[in-house]
Amino acid sequence: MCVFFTRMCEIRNSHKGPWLAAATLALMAAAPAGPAPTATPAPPAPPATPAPPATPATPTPTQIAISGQILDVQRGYLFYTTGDAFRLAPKPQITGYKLPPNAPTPPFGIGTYALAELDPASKSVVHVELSTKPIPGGIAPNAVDRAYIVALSPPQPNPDLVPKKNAYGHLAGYTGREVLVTFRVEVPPDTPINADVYLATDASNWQADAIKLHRLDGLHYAITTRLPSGTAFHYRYTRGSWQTEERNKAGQEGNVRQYVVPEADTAQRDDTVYNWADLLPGGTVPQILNTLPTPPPIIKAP
Amino acid sequence: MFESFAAGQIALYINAGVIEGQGGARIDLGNRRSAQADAFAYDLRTGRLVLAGHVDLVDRSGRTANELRAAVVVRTPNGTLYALVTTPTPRRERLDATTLAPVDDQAPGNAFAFPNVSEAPWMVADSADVVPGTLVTLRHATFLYPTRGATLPSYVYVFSPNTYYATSTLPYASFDQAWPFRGGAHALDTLHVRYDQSAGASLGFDHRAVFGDRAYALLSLAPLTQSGRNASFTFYQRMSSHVYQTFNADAYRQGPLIQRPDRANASLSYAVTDALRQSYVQLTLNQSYDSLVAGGTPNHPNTELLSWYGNDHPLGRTGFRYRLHSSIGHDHDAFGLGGQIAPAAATDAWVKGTGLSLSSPVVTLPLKIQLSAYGERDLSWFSTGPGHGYLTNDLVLTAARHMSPRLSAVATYQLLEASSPFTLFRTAALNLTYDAPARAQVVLSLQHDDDVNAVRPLYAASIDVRMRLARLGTIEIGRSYFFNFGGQTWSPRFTFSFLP
Repeated sequence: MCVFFTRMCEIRNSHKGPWLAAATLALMAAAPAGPAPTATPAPPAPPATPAPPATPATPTPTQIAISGQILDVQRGYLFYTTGDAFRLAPKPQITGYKLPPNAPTPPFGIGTYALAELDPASKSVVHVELSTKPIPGGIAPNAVDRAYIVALSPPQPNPDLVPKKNAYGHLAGYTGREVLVTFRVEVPPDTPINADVYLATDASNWQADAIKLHRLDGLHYAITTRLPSGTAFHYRYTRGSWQTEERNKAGQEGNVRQYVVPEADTAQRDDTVYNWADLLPGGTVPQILNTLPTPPPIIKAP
Repeated sequence: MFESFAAGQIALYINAGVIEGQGGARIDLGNRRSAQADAFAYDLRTGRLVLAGHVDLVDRSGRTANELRAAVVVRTPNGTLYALVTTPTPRRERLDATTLAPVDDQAPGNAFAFPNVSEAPWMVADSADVVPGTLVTLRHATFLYPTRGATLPSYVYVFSPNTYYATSTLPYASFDQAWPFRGGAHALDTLHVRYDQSAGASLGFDHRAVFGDRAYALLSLAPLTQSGRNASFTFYQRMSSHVYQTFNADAYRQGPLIQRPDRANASLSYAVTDALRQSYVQLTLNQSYDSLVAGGTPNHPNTELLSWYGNDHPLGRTGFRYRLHSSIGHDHDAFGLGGQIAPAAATDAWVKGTGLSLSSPVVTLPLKIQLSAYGERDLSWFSTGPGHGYLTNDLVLTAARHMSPRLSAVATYQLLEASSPFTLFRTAALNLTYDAPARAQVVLSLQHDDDVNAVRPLYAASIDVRMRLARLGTIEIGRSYFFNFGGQTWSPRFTFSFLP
């Protein structure tokens, strides 16, 4: 996203600044020189001074890569949102993760994703790569050998962040990589021959003609698009308006469809539309405004 | 019901469904509880709230709960509060959701994770009122995309999966930009700025009342700013898992707003549907009022129809599928039913109808041509008129071929004929579709119509281009050439949608 919306990313990044400043200042102001935030049960308190043993900043082949989201950076420690804390080398190398040329490095603070290289010899982080998106690779902070962690966190996952079947939004637990998703729908055989079929989604404010499908043959329409894995949304098929939305076998609205983009290279969703609201016998959908008297049509028969 | 947020600046992230506030955030959590923080992030879809920086929680008595001063406080979707407390020593706490008092120091892993936002903000505002799980009203809201736009006094973003908040009965328009400006737990008001060729530029208005996922009522007015105005009221209710009903009332008036209209009419309709095991039955009642103006011609034609419609079933193992339907109804028109029923002077008629439709599977022929067919025959009997019968045949043949992953062609032939009076439509159409990179689609259509009544152009060629402008806008432009149909040649048509 940032590749294409550099200006917006600048706005976004400018928003991150206060996050870092706010929480860092809060911790600096409110927290006396004492132990870092600890897990339960409280582990032995880490040293209060921010002066861990000096270590060389040069990566070694045995370094451990840790990937996660930053909760805070303060007093010489890097806190992940798991609650785990790692000691920082005196002058760790801070770089952006796979940034395009001239792109600003995300702030080293709250909310930013970090891939940290931990030097086992000094038990400190010597290099941190930053990104606004989750960074694949590395191991989760709470999976790192306990010997390297200053503040332990409980190993059990946060149930609020576990992807749920009926949850929606961009779910935690997915990498967010782009997945080639194909929606393929079989329409009723009495669909008008020149009909266009659309997807209306809650991600598009339920605009009835948000995503246009192209016709495959007499019974099928499809659209292929790229979506981040974990993206979940609700949707319905329409023919361009809510008067022409799909109906189930019983002619009723039925439940709204939902889909979660899986963690895969490609994915396909096959659906079936059994009826269109405006084509039900007897006119289930009341005749609407444009069937009332209107100004003369522009096109008239010769 | 509301949760109110205020901050120096609140940003809305559409795809992530998150609002973030920066600078002096004040949050009214309802139930006389509130919080202050330097910043907050709220996941609209899950209700998870993260407060960061100098967090103070204020309980019902108005005091800061247990002198709690935290760096980060997280409220989970089930109401549990976790805090990273900084005084007197850094520690974690789990708080009682009601009293805000510390309960213990238990917290799951990753308890303080922030919402995953990796996109540009779509809108910024001064404050926000959230109806959990439904919508957010942003005050003093400014669009940031595609460029910093006008500031609106309020803007409602609906994130509910309930489509009742979106259903609209406004007629088609080339351009329709909705401005949802007021929302609540069960209601949404929307103003529409519209343009179409026949009505020109106009305003429209929708008021929705939503009763969960069981029912909704919708009042639509459009156009508000033209002499001819439509009003529509729709009520939809799921009465049970298999029965639903709809009621619709339409009214039209032509003339100055505060004077006697030149013309006015209306229609009412009601339908109740019961889903059966492999079919459904439906009762439909319609009545129209030809003139509501004093001195006009009073006439109230009405129809009553009881329909049965079967689901489609496979025809053995042939791959073909069939559907059956039948109906019985009554028509009344004091001025004569006319049209398809002779003699035209008849004012009442009972109508019985039945029909069969048959559809083939898609068959792949040589040259990778995919062929399918659909046929339908309907027969109606009227209680009046010679012959009493009315036959309709519909046949559609469709052939499709994909020349490449981006280029495809679909050819269609339709034959539609009806008796009494004899009507025949024959249509041959060829659609060429090119899916261009960067989310653009080009459709070239060639169509030949051979109508007995000549109500459609003999030949028409159309081109339709639809493209996604970056992430948030879609534009569709189409033009048709009619080869001198009634003096008409070009038919400009366009639609433009500004989508989140």
